[in-house]
Amino acid sequence: MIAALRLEAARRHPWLRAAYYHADMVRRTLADPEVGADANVDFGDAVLDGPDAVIGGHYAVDVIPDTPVSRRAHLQRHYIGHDDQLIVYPPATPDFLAEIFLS
Amino acid sequence: MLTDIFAAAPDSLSAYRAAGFPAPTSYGYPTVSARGVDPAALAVMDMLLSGVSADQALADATRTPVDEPDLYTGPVVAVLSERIVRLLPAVGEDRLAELAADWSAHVGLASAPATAVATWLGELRRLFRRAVAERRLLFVWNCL
Repeated sequence: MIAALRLEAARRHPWLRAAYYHADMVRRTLADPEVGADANVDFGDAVLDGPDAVIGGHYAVDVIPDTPVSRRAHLQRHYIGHDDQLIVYPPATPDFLAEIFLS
Repeated sequence: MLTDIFAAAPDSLSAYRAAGFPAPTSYGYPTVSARGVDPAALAVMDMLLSGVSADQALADATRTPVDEPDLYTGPVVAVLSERIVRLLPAVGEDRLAELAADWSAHVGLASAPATAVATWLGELRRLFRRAVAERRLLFVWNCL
């Protein structure tokens, strides 16, 4: 159900295409062995907010599009202390996103 | 995606928008932080709570005050469905864990501990009750 809803949401609302592309980029980035062979996600026991991954059990990282707004937002999270903890990818173009979600 | 749910006084919204929708906690708004709670996930919560159709739930989960928002240039603020605001606080404590499990299973939060989701829903209920008492409106702050 959720996959169908997300696809429909992306078709109706262009802004959400970047969101679902982002989710895929996070998955792909964390699956990359160069990021961390033992990357694991620690959600903690109280909230649903936490880093995308914790490398080696202690180094929190977030995967973000390389934009000023995302850098600023993630550096404000309590688990991200400096820029080195951000793994960036190039933002997708509107045409590319349309191709993914409208084809 | 960062998806913080926050409560804002109606007369503060114009200034908040002019400021570029900064992180709600940094703006002083009562907030429950999360990530990955996208409009589709909220639509599922709406459907579980109210029985509303998927089409209606999705329409109400994706209402934004800005035309053609762009997550690469700024956060996107969406209005939270009033059904969720009204019905989540009415879920009994004994049913909250069940709702958390149902919702987690539907939206792909299976890797999050069930207790974490239930706790988060509990925080959300407290935010909603406080917001209603203070006549604040509820929104979702979305940022990549």
